[in-house]
Amino acid sequence: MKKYIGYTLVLILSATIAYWVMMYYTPFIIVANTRTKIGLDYNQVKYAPGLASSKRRTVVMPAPDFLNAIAYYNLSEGPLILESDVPKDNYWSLSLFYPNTINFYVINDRQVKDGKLKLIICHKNQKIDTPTDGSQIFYTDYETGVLLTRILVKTPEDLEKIEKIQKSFTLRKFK
Amino acid sequence: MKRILIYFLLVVLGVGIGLGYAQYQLNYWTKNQYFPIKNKQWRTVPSLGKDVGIIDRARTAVSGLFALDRKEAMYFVTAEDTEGNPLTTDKAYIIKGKEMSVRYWGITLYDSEYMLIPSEYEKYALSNSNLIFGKDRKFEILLSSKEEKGNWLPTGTKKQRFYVALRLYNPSQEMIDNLETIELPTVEEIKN
Repeated sequence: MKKYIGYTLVLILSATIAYWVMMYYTPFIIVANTRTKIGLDYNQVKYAPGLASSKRRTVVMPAPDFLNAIAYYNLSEGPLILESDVPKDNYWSLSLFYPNTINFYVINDRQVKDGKLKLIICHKNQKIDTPTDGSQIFYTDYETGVLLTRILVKTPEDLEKIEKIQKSFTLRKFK
Repeated sequence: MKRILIYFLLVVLGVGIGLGYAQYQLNYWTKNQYFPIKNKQWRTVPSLGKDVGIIDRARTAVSGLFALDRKEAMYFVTAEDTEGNPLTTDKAYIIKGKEMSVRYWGITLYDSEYMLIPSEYEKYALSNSNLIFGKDRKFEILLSSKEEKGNWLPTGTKKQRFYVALRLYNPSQEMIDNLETIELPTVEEIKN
């Protein structure tokens, strides 16, 4: 009897551990696979080519009134600096995700002064001097992750203007 | 020796069962866009910030990658009308609602594969920045395959199920705190 209780416990325990391990790692795998699917190197920015339409069927539930730009960051070689123009009175946001999809930081146009964002991204173990040019510093728990900007396009006439803002988003090594 | 072999086989079997069940759930969420929180006909996801648990994180990764935390944006989806029947493109529907206490909101239609619905009009969404409001900031949006004037979104010519998504950006604290009870638009079938 004791033997069978032992067998049952081993079976239940191994099934439970396997289930939770898979659930834990699934977001990491999906984020990594998406980077491969997009064909994007680390610290390189991809600008969405226009608004989403029914002809582009790569991402589920795309928002057809937003223009996006995406980058997968990697801080293994040091901090990065992100710069972007920010529109006035028009929804814009920059969101940072851990490699497991957790949205750990968001800043929108109402929280940015002077229409320009300069953000230095550091791993929690990397320390830099406080910049004097007004750049903000943000520390992350993971060396890699995802940066995403979303800009609302209210009317088709706004698209050209919004595309300029979209392409002002750059990411480079911080020196 | 025999006992070690039995334990080894049980571990292999257990791992197989655990992984298999996890895969089954992930496939189900991918197919059914399963959002766990309910508000009448709408469903939404829990908080997507740092406090999100392992299961909700996995569920969101398969059904709404790179969704924003609730403080910044809220996402609601419905696959059914007010009577609980599935939304299908061979019927016409009307969305009735009133302005919501958010900075920006938009309503988008998706086909059975969660992609934008193809149509000659290339019109996929309406929002509080471009739809026509009536008295007291109330609005109505017609969903049909046949072209209509005013607030209208095409459901395309292919017969299939479809989904309505409601995105709310910069919601008020009251909305954030009352996901299950806040007043949202209704999607009703138009009966002849």
